[in-house]
Amino acid sequence: MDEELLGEFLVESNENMAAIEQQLMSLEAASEDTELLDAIFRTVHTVKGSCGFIGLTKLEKVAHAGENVLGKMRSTRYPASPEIVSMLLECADAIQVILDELQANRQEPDVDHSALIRRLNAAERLIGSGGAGAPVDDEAPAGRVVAAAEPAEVQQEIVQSSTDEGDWLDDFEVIRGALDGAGLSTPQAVLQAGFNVLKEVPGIAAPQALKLLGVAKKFAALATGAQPDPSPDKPEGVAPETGESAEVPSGKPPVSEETAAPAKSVATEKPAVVAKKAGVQETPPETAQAGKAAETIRVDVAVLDELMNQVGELVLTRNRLLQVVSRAGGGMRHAMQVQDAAEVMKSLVPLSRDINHITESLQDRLLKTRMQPISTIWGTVPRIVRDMGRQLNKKINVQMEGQETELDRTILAALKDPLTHIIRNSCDHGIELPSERMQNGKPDTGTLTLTAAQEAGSILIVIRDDGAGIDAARVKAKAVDMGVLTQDAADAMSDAAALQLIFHAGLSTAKQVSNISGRGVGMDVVKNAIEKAGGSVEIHSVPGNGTTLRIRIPLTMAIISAMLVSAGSQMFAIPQMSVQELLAADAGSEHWCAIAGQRFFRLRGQLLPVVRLTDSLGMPAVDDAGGSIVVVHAGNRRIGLLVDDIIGSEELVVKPLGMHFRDVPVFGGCSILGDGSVVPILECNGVVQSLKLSAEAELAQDEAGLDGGRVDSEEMQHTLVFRGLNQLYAIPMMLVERLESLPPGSIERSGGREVLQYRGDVIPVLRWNRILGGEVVQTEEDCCLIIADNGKRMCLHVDEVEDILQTPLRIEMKSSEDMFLGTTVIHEQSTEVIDVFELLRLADPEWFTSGGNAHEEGRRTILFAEDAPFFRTMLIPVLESMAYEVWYARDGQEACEILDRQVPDVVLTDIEMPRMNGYELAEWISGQPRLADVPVIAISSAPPDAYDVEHRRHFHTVLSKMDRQGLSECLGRLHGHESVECNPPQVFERPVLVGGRPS
Amino acid sequence: MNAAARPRAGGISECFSCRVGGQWVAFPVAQVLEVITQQRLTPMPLAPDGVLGLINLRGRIISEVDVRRILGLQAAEAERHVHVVIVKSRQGEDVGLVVDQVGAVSAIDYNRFEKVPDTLHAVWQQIGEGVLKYDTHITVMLDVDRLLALSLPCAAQEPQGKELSRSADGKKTPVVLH
Repeated sequence: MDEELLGEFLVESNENMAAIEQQLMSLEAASEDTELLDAIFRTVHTVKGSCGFIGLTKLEKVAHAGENVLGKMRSTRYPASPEIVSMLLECADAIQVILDELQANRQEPDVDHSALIRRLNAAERLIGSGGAGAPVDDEAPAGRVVAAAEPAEVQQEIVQSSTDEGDWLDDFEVIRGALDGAGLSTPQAVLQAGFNVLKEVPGIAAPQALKLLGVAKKFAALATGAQPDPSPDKPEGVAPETGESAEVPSGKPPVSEETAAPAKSVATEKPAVVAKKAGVQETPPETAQAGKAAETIRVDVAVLDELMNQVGELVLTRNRLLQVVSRAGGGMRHAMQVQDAAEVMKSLVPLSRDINHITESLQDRLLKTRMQPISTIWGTVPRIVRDMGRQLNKKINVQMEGQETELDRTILAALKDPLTHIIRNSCDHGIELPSERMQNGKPDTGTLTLTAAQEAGSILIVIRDDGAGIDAARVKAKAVDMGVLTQDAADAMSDAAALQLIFHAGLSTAKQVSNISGRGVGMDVVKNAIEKAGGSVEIHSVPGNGTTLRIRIPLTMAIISAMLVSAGSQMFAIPQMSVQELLAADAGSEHWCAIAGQRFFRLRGQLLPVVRLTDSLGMPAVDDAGGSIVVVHAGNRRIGLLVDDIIGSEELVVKPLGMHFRDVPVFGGCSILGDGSVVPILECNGVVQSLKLSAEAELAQDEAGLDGGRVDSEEMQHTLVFRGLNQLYAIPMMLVERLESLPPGSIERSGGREVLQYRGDVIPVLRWNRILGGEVVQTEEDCCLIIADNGKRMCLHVDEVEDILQTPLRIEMKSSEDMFLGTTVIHEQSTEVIDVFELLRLADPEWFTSGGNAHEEGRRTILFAEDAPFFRTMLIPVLESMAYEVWYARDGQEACEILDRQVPDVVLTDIEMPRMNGYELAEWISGQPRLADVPVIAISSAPPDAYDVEHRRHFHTVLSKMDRQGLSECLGRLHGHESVECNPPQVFERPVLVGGRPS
Repeated sequence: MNAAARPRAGGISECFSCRVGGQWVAFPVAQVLEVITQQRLTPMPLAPDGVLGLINLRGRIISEVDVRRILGLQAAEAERHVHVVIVKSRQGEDVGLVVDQVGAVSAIDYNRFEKVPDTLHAVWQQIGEGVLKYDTHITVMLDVDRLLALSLPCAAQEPQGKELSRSADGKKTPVVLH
C-alpha cells in the first residue's frame, strides 16, 4: 500500500468524517434539506472512491452501502427519518473505526461489518420501493418509514435482516430440505418462484420466505460481483457484530399477524432499539479521536511567522550579547578599567531587557499555538445528547455558546471525559421525561446549555440543564446514610453546601442505577479530573428548575504561577491555584494547639490542621522553630503546610518528572529557576492524600471545606502601598490581579489615550501621576498594577510599589475628593486610600454598566444596611451597576426607620452592626406582614458559627462580603425566578502575599 | 540500534567503559548520549533508593542514578569527582548514571565475551550481559535498561526473589535470592 497516498487519504477522510456526524444530525432536524444531503453524499462518495483507489476493501464496502442509501434518498427525495439517520450514523462510526485503525496500524481492522451492510442494503431497497417513481406521500407522517408501497413486508425485511443470524441458521437445514422438496434448490429458482409461491411451500413461514428472497437476491447480485457477501452458508463470515443481538425485537409476533397489524407498530418499536445500540457503540470513536488529536496540530501560518520573527530577534540579541561578552573578555586580559566595566554593564542592561521582552512574547505566542477552540471537544456533545435522548425517550435540545473559546490542548484533553460525564448525568438525571415536564408546566423539550467564556486568566465553563434539579435534603439524607456526615452536621449544613456533597466519593442520588450514570461513581471522579487539570468545579441547583455546574479552569498548564517556599534547606513550588493564603506562625504563637497528636493552628476561630512540609515528604526532621504556613486547598480539604520560609511567587514552566517519580503522588512536575537550579512542584491533592489526618481533623476539614465559611476578617485588609509624586497611596488588593514590570514601549497610544496589550486584550492605562496632575517620571521599567473587576481589566501605572501588607484599613479622615476614601496610617505615615471604583470609572465610564448585568425591567430598589463605610463604598457601585436604586442605612435601627416608610424589593444587611444587628433586623422584618415578601440577604465577614446557624433562618441567604460576584448572581437569580438558593460564598480566588502577621 | 547493542548477536560493536567503585563496566555506545561532570544536583524527597536527585541539563530535567548503590557497592567517599553518563533508555527517557571514572570507547568483538561467572554477586547476573577479560582487569558488559529497572521503586518489591537487605553500611541494596 502506498504510504504517502494512504497518509493523504487519512487526513482528507478524517476531516470529512469529522463534519459528517453533525451534518447527519442537522439532516434529521431538517429532513428535506437537499443541499445537506448532497454534502453528506459527496463525503461518503469521496471516501468510497478513494478506497477503491488504494485498495481498502472493507472500508469500501461499508462506505458503498452508506453511499447507496444516501444516493437513493437523494434520487427519491426521501425524507431522513430518525431510524435512517441512526443507521447512517452507525455507518459513519464504522468508517471512523476503520480510519482510526488505518491510522494506528496501517491496515484495516479485523471487524465484520456485514450485519450493518445488510441493514443498509435493506434500507436502500426500502427507500427504493417506497419512493420509486413518485414523490413521498404527503399524507404519511414525515420521516417515518411507513410510506412504502408494501410497508409491512419491507419493514419486516429490515427487521429480519438485522435479526440474529444464529436464529435463522438453526432452522436452515429444515428450510433447505423444504426448498429442495419444492424443487427450488438454486437462488435463481427461489427468485423466480417469488414470495407468494415460497410462503406456500410447507415448512416455510412467511418471514422465512421473505428472508430467503433477500438472500437469493444477494446471491444473484454476488454472481455479478456488485454486492458484498452476507452468505448464510458461511456462518463464520457472518458472525454478528457486537451488540447485534440487542436488536432482536423481543416477543415478535409471526409475520402473518404482523402484516395485518398496522405497520406503525414496527416503526415505533425500532427507534429505542437502534438508539440503544448507538449508545453502546459510542465509546470507541471517542477514544480514537482523542488519540488522533494527540498526534498533530494545525497552526495558523501567521502565528508561525510571528514565532519565526521572534526567534530571529532572539538570535540577533544573542549575537549582541556575545559581542559584549567577547569585548569584555578582551578587556579582561589587559586588566579591565573601571570605566570599561561600567561600559559593559551599561550595554548589558538594555540587552537583558530585550531578551526578557523577546522571551515573554515568544512564550506568549508559543502558548497560542497550543490553544484550540473548545469546540474540538464539544463537537461530540450533540451526538451524545441525541443518542441519550432516544435511549431514554427524552426530548433534549443542546445550546452551545462560546465554542470558539480557546484552551490549551492538554487541558482540553483532560476535560473531555469529565464533560461527557456531566452531560450524561444531566440527560439521565437532570432532564425529566416529556410527560413529567408537561405536568410541571415546562416545555416538553429539555434544554442543555453549555457556555464557555474567558474570565481573567481562566476559562469558565457553565453547563446548565432546565431539568428537575437536585434535592438537597436527599443529598443530605444519602450522605448521612453513607456515613459521610453526621445527622447533626447535616442539619446544620446549608442547602448550597449540601449540594457540593455530590462530589463526595460514593454518593449518587439516582433512584435507579442505569447503564448511563448513577453507579455511585462519577461526580467525585469528575471533580478529581478537573482539579488535576488545575481547575475547580461547583454545583448549584434549584429543585424543579434545573442544575448548573460551573467549571473554572486555567488557560494553560504548561506555565503556572507558583509560590516558592523553602523547607529543610530545599526549595519547593506550590501552584498558586491551590494556595489560599499565607500565614506567619511563630513556634511560640498562642494560635497553636494539638488535638490527638495532630497539630492545629487557630485561624479566625477555626482549627486548621497543619503539617510540616518536610514531614509529609519524609525528609529528616528539623527543629521545631516556627515558620510560615501555606494554606492550601485540595481535594475538598484545607490544610496548612508549615514551611521554613516563603520566597515569593514566580511563573514556572512545568516540566515532567522521569520514570523514578511516576508513582510519587506528591509531585506534579518540576521546573527550572532563574539560577538554573531544579525545583520540584508539589501536587497538593497528592500531598493531602498522602497525609493520614485523624478522624477529628477530617471532620473539621469537611465542614470547613464544604461550608465555604472562610472569610477574611473585616478588620484586616490586604493592601498595596505605592508611591506617586513622593507621596504614599494605598489601594486594597482585592481587585489587584497582578503586578507587572513592563519594558518601555509596552504602553501604546491609541485614539488619544494610552492602552496596553495584555493577555490578548487591549486594556486602558491610567498613570497615577497624571491623575494627580503631575509629570510621569521616565523609568527603565514601567511598574503597573493590573486591576480586574466585572470581567474587565485596567492598568494603573505607578512610580514604585512600596509594600504589600495586611493592615486594619481604618479611615482616619474622610476625604472630600471622589478619588479617595480617606486617609489612613500605614507605617506611621499618613497614606491616602484610593477608591478603586472611582478609578475604574475614570478608566472606563461604562465600566459598571456594560457588564451585561443591567436589568431590563427597570430599577428595583434595595435597602442596604452596613455600618462600615469601606464596604458601603465597595458594594454600592456593584448594586447600582445592576440597576438597583440603593437606599442605605448605617445600622439596623436606621434600616427599620426606612422600612417604616418604604418597601424595597430586597434587603441586604450586614450582620454585625451597632444598635441593631442583622439578626435583629431580619427578625423585625419577619414580624412585619407588609414586608413578608421582601427577601433578606445577609452579608457577613465572619465565619458562620453555631449562633449563626441558629439565627440565620430569617435570612434568605448568607453571603460573604468579598463575594461580589456571588451577590450579583444571587440578586440576578432572585429576580429571575422566585425562591432561589444561592451558591456558597466563593472567596479567595486569588491568594495574596501577606507581609504582616495575623494578630 | 538495540539489536546491534546486544552482545549475544555476535560480531563487533562499540562499547563505552567506565569504572564504578573498583569494577570496570561497559555500556553499548549506542545508548550513551554524552558524559558530563557533576552538575548542581537537586535532591528529591521520596525518591527511590539509588536515585540521587535531579539535574538541569540544558533545560531538560534528568534523574541521576548512583550506579554504585544499584550494584550494592560501597557508597563513595564524600568528595569524589564523579562523572555522569547520560544514557537513553529504551522507553526514550534520558537518565544520568553516576560513575567514578570514564574510560574509552572501544570496538569489541562479541565473541570474546564470556558468560557472567555465577560466583559473582546476584545483581551482576541480573544486569550483566557478559564479561570481557583483560590482562589487568575484567569488564562487565551491562544492559542499561535492566540496570535502570533496578533503580525503580517497584523493582525492590517485586515478588520474584528480589528483596531488600541491608548491607554493611546500612544502605538498602537490592539482592536476588535464589
